[in-house]
Amino acid sequence: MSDDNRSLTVLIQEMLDGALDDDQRVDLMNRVESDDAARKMYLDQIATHTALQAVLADCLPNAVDDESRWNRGNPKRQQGNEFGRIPRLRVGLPTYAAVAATMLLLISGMVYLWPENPAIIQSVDTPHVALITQAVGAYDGDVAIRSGQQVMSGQLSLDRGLVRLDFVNGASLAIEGPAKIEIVDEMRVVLLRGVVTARISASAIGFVVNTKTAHVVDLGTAFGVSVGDDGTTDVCVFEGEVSVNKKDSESSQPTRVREGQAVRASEQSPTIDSTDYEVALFENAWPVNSGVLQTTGSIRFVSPGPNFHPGNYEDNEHIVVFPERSGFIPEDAIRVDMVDPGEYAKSDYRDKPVLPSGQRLTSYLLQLDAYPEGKNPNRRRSVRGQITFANPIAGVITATRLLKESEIIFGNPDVEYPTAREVEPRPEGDERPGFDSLILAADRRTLFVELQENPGHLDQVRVLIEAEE
Amino acid sequence: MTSDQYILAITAIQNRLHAYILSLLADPVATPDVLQETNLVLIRKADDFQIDASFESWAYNTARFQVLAHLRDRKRDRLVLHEAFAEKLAPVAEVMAEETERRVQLLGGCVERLSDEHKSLLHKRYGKETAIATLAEDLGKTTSAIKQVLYRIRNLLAACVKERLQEGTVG
Repeated sequence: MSDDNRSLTVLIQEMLDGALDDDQRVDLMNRVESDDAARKMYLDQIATHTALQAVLADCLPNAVDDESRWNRGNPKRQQGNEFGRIPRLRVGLPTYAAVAATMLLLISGMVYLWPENPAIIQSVDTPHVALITQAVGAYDGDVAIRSGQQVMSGQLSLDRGLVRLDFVNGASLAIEGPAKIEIVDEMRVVLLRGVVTARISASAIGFVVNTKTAHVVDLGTAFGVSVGDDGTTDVCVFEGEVSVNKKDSESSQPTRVREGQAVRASEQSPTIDSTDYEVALFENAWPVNSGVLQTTGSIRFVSPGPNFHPGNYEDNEHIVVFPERSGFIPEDAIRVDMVDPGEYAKSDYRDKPVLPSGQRLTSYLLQLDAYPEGKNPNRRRSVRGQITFANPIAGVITATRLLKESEIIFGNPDVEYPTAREVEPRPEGDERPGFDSLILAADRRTLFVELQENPGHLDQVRVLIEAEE
Repeated sequence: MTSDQYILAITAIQNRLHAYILSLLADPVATPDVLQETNLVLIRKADDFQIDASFESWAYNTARFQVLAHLRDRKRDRLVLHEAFAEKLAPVAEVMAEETERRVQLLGGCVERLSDEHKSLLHKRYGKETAIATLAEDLGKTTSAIKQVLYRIRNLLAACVKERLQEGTVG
C-alpha cells in the first residue's frame, strides 16, 4: 500500500470513528472529490462500515456485564441521581433493519421448511404446541426464523435475535439468542442455554421451565430465566410468584420467589440462593412478551418489575414506555386524539374521534419526564424515536383532559400519576423550531415520536392497542 | 404502492439511506439525526409520492435535501465546499448505497467465521458503538493497538466478502 493510500485509509477510518476535525474533513473531501480511486475506496469503506453496523448490532449477543445495561433498569429515585443519567442512544440503523425485517415477516406470514430445528414444522395440519408470533432478526445459523411458523415438541435453537412463542394454552415465551430450548409439551420446556422471559395466563398456571440446575414452576405470573454455559440459572420474578427447586431435589421444599425478587441455582451451591433483583439480562426479551415489537431511537421500554412506574421514573434521555391495563374492555366509549395514520394536530374536544365501548384494548403510557441535571440544568430536552407494536393501534391520546379521563380507566390504580402535560404540535404554517411531533404510520402499528421539554416538566402519550381475545 | 407497502419500503431502505447520508456528510455523528429527519419527511410526504415513480429515487432525493438542509442549519464556515461535495458525490453514493444490502447478507456469514474474541470486539465497536478510547481503556491496550486489530478484522471480512462475491454465495 502506498503512503498516499495509507493516509487516505487512516482519514476514512478516523472519519468513521467520528474523530476528524474540520481541516481533516476538508482534506478528505478534496481527495475524494478529485481522485477516482480515492472516491471508490471512500464509498467502499462506508458500505462495509454500514453493513458491519447492521450485521453486528443485530446478530451478536450483548455483553451481559456491560454497566450501562445494568444501570438502565434502575429508576432514579430508587437508586439516586446516578442512575437517572442514561447515555443517549443514537438512532440505530440495525434496529431499523430489524423493524423492516419483522414488519415484512409479520405481513408475509410465510412458513418455511426448517430442517435444522426439528421443533419447527411446516404443515398447518400437524398438531402443534406453540406458534412463533414474533421474530426479530432471528436466525439459526444462516436460516431465518419466521413469524407464523408452528412449533411442536423438540429442540429449538436460536443463534441470534428474538422470537416470541405463544403456546396453545396461553403461555407466552420470549427467547433471546443465543439460546437452546427443548419444547417438551404445552406445559413444559427445558432451557438448555440462553435467556427467556415468560408471561403466563391463568389457563397455563403450572407452566414449568426446567434447566440443568433448577426446576421453575409458574404460579400465575411473569418472570425471566437465564441459563449460562455452566448451567447456572438466574430466575427473576416481574409479577406474581413462582416456585423454584434445585433440579435434582424436586421433592425438597420449593423456594417461593415473589415479584421483585430473584434467585440463583448453580452446581456450586446445594441450595437456591437469593440474589439482587437485576433485570438487565431480560430487558431485550421482555418488551416482546409485552406486545412491543421494537423500539428505536430514544424510546425504551421500562424495566420489568413491580416498582417501576410513571410516578417514580425520571429520564432525561428517553421516552419511557410503561405497560398499563392489558386486554381490558371499557364499558364506555373512549375519546381519543388520533385514530388514523398521519400527524397529530390539535382539535376541539367535541371534534375528537371516539372508540366505541366493548372493544378489547391494551394500554401503554409513553412518558418523557425531564429533570434538571448536569452543567446546564435548564437545557431543553429533545428526544425522538419510534415504537412498533405487535397489534394495531386503536387510538392515541395526548390532550391533558383526555389523558386524565383515560387514566381512570387504563391507569395503574396503585400509582400516583404525575400531572400530565400534553404534547405541543406545530401549528399550521408556523416555521419556528421546538414543537413536538406525533406521527401514526400507515402500518397502524408504528408511532414516530419527537418531544421537546423543559426540565421540571413532562410529556405523556397514551397509546391504546387492539387486544386479542 | 399502498400505504402499507410505502411504510415497508421506508423500513427496508434504512441501511442504504444510512450509507448514502454518511457518504455525503462524512460525519457519522450527524448521520443518524439526518436519517431520522429523512424518515419523518418521507412519512409526512407519503401522499406526494407518485405511485409509478421509483421509491428508491424518491427516498435518496429526500435524503439529499435533508443533508443539504442539515449543512445549512449548521452554518458551517465551509458550507459551499460541503454542499458542493454532497451534490457531486450524490449520484455515485446512490450506486454504492444500493449495494449495501448485498454486503449485509454476505457479512453475516463472514462474521460467523471469526474468533469469539474478534466477534466480541466487533460487537462492542460496531454493535454498541463503543468509542475506541473506551475499548482501549477497558481492554488495557493503546488506542492504536485497538485500531490495528479492528483494521485487520475489517480486512479479513473484506477478503471474505470478496471471496463470497466471487463464489456467488449468500449466508
